[in-house]
Amino acid sequence: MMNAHDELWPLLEALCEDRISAEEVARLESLVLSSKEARQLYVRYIDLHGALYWNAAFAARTEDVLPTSGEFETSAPAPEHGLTWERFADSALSDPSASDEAANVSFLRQELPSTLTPVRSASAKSEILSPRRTNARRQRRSRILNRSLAAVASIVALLGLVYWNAGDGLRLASFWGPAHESMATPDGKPLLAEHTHSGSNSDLRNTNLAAHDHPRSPRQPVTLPLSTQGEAVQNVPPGNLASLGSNLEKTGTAPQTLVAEQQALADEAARVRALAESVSAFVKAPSKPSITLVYPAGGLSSWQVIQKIDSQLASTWKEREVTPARMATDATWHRRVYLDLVGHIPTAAESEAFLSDNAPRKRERLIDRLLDDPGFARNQATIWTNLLVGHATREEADRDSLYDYLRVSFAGGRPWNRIVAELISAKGRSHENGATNFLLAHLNENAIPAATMTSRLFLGRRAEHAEHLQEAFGESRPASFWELNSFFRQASSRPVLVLDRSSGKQVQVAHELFDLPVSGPVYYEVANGTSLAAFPRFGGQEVDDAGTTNRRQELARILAEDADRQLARAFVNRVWSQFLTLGFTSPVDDMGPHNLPSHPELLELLTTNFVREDYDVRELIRWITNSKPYQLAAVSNSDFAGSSLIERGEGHDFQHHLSRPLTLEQTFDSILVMESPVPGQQQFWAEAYQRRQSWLSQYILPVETEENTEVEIYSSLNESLSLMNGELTRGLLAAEPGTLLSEVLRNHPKDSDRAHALAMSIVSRPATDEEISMIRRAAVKKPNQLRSREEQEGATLDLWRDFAWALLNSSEFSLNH
Amino acid sequence: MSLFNPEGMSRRHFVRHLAATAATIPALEFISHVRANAAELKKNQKSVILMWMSGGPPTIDIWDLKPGSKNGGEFKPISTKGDLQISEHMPKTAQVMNHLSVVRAMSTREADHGRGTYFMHTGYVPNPTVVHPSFGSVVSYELGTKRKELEIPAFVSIGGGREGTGPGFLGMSNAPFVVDSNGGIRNADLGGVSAGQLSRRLDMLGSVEEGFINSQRGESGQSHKEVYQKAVNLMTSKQMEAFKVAQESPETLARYSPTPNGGMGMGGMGGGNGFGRSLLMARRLVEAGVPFVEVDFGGWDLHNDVFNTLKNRMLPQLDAGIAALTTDLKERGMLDNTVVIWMGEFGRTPRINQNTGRDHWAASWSTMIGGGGLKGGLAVGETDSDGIAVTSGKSYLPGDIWATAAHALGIPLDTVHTSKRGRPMKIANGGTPIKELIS
Amino acid sequence: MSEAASEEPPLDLATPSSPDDGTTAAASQAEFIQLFTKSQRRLYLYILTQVPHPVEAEEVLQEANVIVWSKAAQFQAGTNFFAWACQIAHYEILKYRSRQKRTKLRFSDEFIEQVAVEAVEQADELESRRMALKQCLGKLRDKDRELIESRYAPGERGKDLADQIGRPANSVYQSLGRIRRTLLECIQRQLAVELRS
Repeated sequence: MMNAHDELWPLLEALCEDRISAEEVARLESLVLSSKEARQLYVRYIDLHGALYWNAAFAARTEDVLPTSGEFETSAPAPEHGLTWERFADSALSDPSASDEAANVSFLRQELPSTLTPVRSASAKSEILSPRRTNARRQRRSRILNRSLAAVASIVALLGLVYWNAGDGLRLASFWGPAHESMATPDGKPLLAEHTHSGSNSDLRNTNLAAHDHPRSPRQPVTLPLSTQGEAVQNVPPGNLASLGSNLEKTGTAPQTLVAEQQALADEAARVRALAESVSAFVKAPSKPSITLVYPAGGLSSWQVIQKIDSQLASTWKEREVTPARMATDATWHRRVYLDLVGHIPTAAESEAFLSDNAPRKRERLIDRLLDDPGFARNQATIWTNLLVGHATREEADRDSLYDYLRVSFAGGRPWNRIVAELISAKGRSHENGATNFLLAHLNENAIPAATMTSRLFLGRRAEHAEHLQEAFGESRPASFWELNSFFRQASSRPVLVLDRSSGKQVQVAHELFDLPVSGPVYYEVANGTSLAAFPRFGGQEVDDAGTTNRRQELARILAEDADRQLARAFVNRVWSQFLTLGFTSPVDDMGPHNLPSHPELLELLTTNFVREDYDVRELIRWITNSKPYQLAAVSNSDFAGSSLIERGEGHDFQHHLSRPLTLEQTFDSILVMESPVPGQQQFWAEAYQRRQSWLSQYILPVETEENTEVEIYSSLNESLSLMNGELTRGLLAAEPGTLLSEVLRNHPKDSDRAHALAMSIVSRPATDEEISMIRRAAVKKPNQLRSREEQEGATLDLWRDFAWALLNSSEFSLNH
Repeated sequence: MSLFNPEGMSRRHFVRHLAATAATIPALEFISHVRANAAELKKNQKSVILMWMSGGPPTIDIWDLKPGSKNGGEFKPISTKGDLQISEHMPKTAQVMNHLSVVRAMSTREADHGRGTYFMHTGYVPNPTVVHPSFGSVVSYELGTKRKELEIPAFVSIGGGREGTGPGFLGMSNAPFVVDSNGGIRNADLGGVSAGQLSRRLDMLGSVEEGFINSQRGESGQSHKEVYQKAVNLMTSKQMEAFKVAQESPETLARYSPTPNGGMGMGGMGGGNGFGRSLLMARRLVEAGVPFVEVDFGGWDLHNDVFNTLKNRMLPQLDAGIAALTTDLKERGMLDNTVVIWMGEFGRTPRINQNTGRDHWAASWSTMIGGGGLKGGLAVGETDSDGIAVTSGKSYLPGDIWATAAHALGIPLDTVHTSKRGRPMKIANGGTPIKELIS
Repeated sequence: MSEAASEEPPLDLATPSSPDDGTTAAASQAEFIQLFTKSQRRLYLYILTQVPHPVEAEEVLQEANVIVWSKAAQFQAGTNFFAWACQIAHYEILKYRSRQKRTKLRFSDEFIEQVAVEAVEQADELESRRMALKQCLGKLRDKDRELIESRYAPGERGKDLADQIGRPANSVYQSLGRIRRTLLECIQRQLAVELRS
C-alpha cells in the first residue's frame, strides 16, 4: 500500500529501535513534512509501536499480582455487544453469577453472604439501562452494593479473578470512599458484612456500614459509558459516526473480537489502578490546584529573599570577623548543583554548554531549569523515601509505592504540610495509596516508631527523650511522647490476600492501613512501675478520645496548621543541610532548648517565607541554591570525606562550602549518566531505579531495634573496592560500541580532546595540563614495543581505560564538593 | 607525589618494579610470597574481640541475676568455674568463667540506642561539635600502623558499622572494615587487571589526586589516599584467607554452634548461627594479626516476651559462642593476648513490664571482660537485691572498660589524640583501668 | 496554613472523598476520573507521535497527568475530554522539548505541529487500529509473535534482545521491522474488511 515510502520504512524502524542518526532524523522529518500520506504512515507506525509497548507494560503489571489468567478467554460468557464500564464493573460487582459461570461455583456458595443471593440471579448480559432492571431493584441493589461491594470484590479476588481487571474498575469506583471493607482478614476469610463481625473490629465496621447505607451514597460505581464505543461517539465527528458505530457493532458479533475488546477494556482498568496510585494525591481539591506552575508572587519575591539571606550572612561574617571563601568555579558549582538538585552529575555535553554560556545569570537560569526537571522530583523522592522508611523497609510497607507517591507529589509542587498531612492520615492499600507506607512501616512495637519518626522527621525533635537531660538514666519516655503515640493507636494494618488459583493458596499482595475505633488513653509505665495514662494531645491541642474521633486525621490537621511553625522550621533546617552539608542545628532532627540553632535569624527568615509561600518546596530550594553560601568554594581543612562528619558545627558560618561524600544513589546514577554518552540515548530511570535498589541493598544492614533503623556500610574500603573493581566500574569501562570509552575514542582522534572528554564526563571539568602530559608520558612507553595493529589498539584502549579508572576513583569524583 | 607512602620501599615503587618483571613471575603470587615472610611475628601481638550486643541485652537475666526479687524473672543462677554465678541458660559459659569476669556496676547515662551505642563505643557522650573515634579505631590508629606485616584492615567489624562506631577525627583509614558473618568481601579481586595495569592506574590516580588536592583542600585527599592504599594491600593479600571461615573443619564450626550437630550452614545475622560463625572468623582475624575485631550480635531490644526469647533464641547462641571462643583461644595459646569484651548500649529495666519485657536501662547493668592477661572468675561491683542501683560504691563508665583494655594491650593511658580543631582528647575519655582485674 | 484544615471537615486527603459527599459532586468527580483513565492510552500514544521514545513519552504523560488533575475544575462536562487533554499534553511536550534541547534526536517545531494535527485527525481511526492489532497479533507466526513479545517486554530494548537470543543485532532489527510491517498491513486489511462487511 505504501510503496511510495520505501525510504520511510527503514527510518521508522531505526527510530523505534533508538538507533537513528541525526542525519536520518532530518531525512525522516523532511519526508514526513512533504506529504500527507507520509504523515499518516508515520503516525500509524508510531502508534503501533506505542500500542505494543503499552500493552506489554500493562500485561506485566497484572501478572505481578495475579498469577492466573487466561480463563477469561475460554469460559467467560461474552456480553452481547457494546461493553461499557458500567456493565463491566457491574457484572463483577453485584453479579456473582458472571463469575459463577467462569469459576468455582461451590466455592462461591460457601463464601457468599446470604444478603447477596437475590442479586445472583441477575444476568451478566443485562445492561444498566435494560428495562429488566426496575428502579426499585436498582435502589435495593445499590444498597446491597454499598454494603457488599467490597466484600464481593474480595470474593472476586479470591476466585482468582476471572474478572480481575474489572476488580480494578471496581477499585476505581471505590476510590471515592473508604476501601477497607474490601479486605480479607489476616486469616484469609473475607470480611463479609454481617457474618464475620467479632471483637473490636466490628464496631468500626458497623459504623462504616451505617454510613454507607445512606441512600444518597454515591458508591454506585460508574454512571458514564466508558467503552470504546462510548468514547468514539463522544469524539467522532458526525460524519464518521455511522461507519465507526457499525464497525464496532460488527466486531461485537465476532467472539474473538469481543475478547480483544474486553481485553482492551481490561487493559484500561489496570492502567487505572496504576494511575490511581500515582495521582491519588491530586484528586482532592480540583477547585484549588496544588500545582504551582507559575511561581506565585506575594510576600517577598524570590530575589528579595535571597538578598536577605545574603545580607544576614554577610553581617554575621563581619561581626565574627570571618572571611568568606572565593566563589566556586563554574565547573565545580555546576556539578554540585546537578548532584544536589537532580541527584547525579551532569553529562559532558551539559557541562560544556554551561561552561561556554556567557549570558548573564546563568547559575540562576540553570537552577530554574533543574527545578523543573523530572530529576528534581526523583531526587527529592529518593531522599525522603530513605528518610521515611529507609532502604531496608519493613515487609508491611511498599517502598516503591511510597517513592512513586513522593515523586508525583514533589513533581506537582505539593505543599510540604499537605504531604505530611497525607502521610499521617493516609488510608488504603500499600500499593494503591503510596502515602500509607510511611505508617505501615512504623506501626510495629505499639507504634512507638511511628511517633518517634513523626517527631524526628517532621518536627526535628526527639520526642522520645525530649527531656533526656533529666531522664537519661532509665527508659522513661516523657508523657508528651505517649500523647503523640496515642494518635497512632487506632491505626492498624492487615494483609491483602488473593487466591492464587494455580496453587490454591492465598497470596499476600499488599497491606492495608485502616483505623480501629479505639478510644481512651494509652497507658505507659514509668521507671518506678506506676502506670500513667496519656491522652491524644499534641501541640497544645487536646483531641476527643472517643472511638469516633479519627485521631490520625486530627493529628494531620494540627501538623498541617503548624501553629508554631515548627513543621516549617524543621523542614527548612533539614533542606538547608541537604545543600550546605550542615543544618542550623546538628543533628538536624534534634532541635530544642538544649540544641539552639547556630543562625536563628536566618532560620526564622527562611521559615517565615516558606510558610508565606505555602510550604512550596521548590521555592525554598530556589532561595537556598541561589544564595551566596551555596556559591562558595569548598576550601576547608575539615575532613568530610568519611561516612560521618569528622568535626561539625561549632563556629561554622557557611563561609565556605563543605564537601561531603556522594550518596549511594548519587554514585549509581552518576555512573549511569556516564554510561550513556551517545546523544539521543536516554536514561531509563524507571528501569534504573530497580537496578539501583538491588545494587545498593548489598550495602545496607537493618538494625534490630524498635526504632526501625539501619546502617549503611558503603564507606571507606567497601566504597573504594566497589569503585576499583565493582560491577559498575567494569560496565563503565567496557569497550563495546556505545560505551563511554568507545564513544570518546571514536569521536576524538586527538589525545588532549580525549582527555578532556573523559574528564568532562567523569569529574565534570576539562582535563588539566598535568593530566594530559601524564597520559602522553604513559602513552609513549608502550605502543612501540607492540607490533600488530590490534596490539596497539588494545594498548591505546587500555591507556584511556586506566585514565577513566583513575578519574572514577579520585576523591574528586567521590565527593560532592 | 606518591600515592602510597609507607616506610621503606613505596608500595607504588614496588608494584612498578613488578610490572617490569611481570613477564617472568606471576605477579600477585609473588607479592603474597614476599609478604609471607613476616608471617610468624605476630604470636605475641595483643588484640581485642568486642562482642557487641546490639539492642541492649538484659544483663539481669544473664550475668547478675536477682533470685527472690520481684524483678528476678524466670531464670535461676548457677555456679560456675569462677567465683560468681550466672544464668542457668549459660551452662557452657559457666565452665569457662574462670577466664572471664563480669563488671556488675556499670552505670552509664545513655538509654537511647543511638546515644548508647556512641557512648559505649567511644567513651564520650555525643557532642555536636566533634565526632569521637570508637575504641576500635583508636586501636587501629595505635597498633595497626605498627604492624607492618598486616595487610588487611586493623579494625574489622563483622556485621556492625553503625553510627558512633566509626573513626571520628582519626580519619577514614581507621574506619571499621565491615563484613558479613560469611566473610564474603565484595569486589576484592582484581578481576583480570594485571599488576602492571594496576600500577599504572594507581600512578594516574596519584596525579589526579594531586591536582585536586592542590586546587582544593588537603586532608580529605590524604584520607582518600590511605584508604586506597589499604584497598590495594587488601586485594593482593594472602591474609584475606582469614575471612574464609568456611575453611575451618566441621568439628570446629560445630563447637561454636548451639545445636549439637553443628549445622553452621545457615549463617545470617541475629538468627541461626551467625554469632558463632562471626566469633570463629574473629579468632581467625586475630590470628592473622588484626588488633581489633568487633562482632555484632543483634536482637536484644526485648521490650516483649523477654524470657522465652532469651531461653529459646538468644542465650543458646550466646552461650555456645562465648564458651567456644574462650576455649579455642585458650587451646591455641591466644587467650592471654586477646582481650574479650561483651557489652551492649545499655542494660534493661530490672522491672518486668506489662508485656513480659524489659525496657531500656542504663543506671545499673553489667558487662563482661576477660582474657588479655586480665583476671578471670570475678564479679566486680554489685547491685542491690532488686538490681535497680549500684551498691558497691564505685560504678563504672565505658571509659573504664576501655582503659582496662588499653592497659591489657599496652597502649599508654596518657595517650592523647588531638581533634582536627586542636582539642586534646584523652584515650578512653580519661577512664581508669579496673584495678580488680589487673594482676 | 489552612488549606488542608478548613476546606473540608474531615481531613481525608489520601482517600479523596468521604461517603456522605453529595451525589452531584461525586458524579462529576467520577465522570472526570473515568474520562481521565479512559483516555490514558490514547493520550500516551498521542504524546508518543511527538516524543518518539516510549519511556520519555511516559515521562511526559506523567507530567501531563499532573496538570490535567490540577485543572480538573476547569474541565467542562460534556465537552471533548480527549481534545482538552491533548492541548495540555501538547504544552507539556513543548516544555519537555525545551528541557531536552541538547538531544541530537530532535524534530523541528514544525514537524511536531504537523504531526500533532495528524494525530488528532486520525485519533479515532487509530483507536480502531488498536483493536485490530489484537487480532493481527494472533495471526502472526508463533516465532514472530514470540520475538515481538520479547521485544516489547517491559524494560527490554532491541539491543539487549539480540544479546539474549544470540542473534546478530542487525538481523533482529530486520526481523522486528518485518513483523511490524506485517502487523501494519494486517491491520489495514482488517479495517478494510470490517468497513466492507
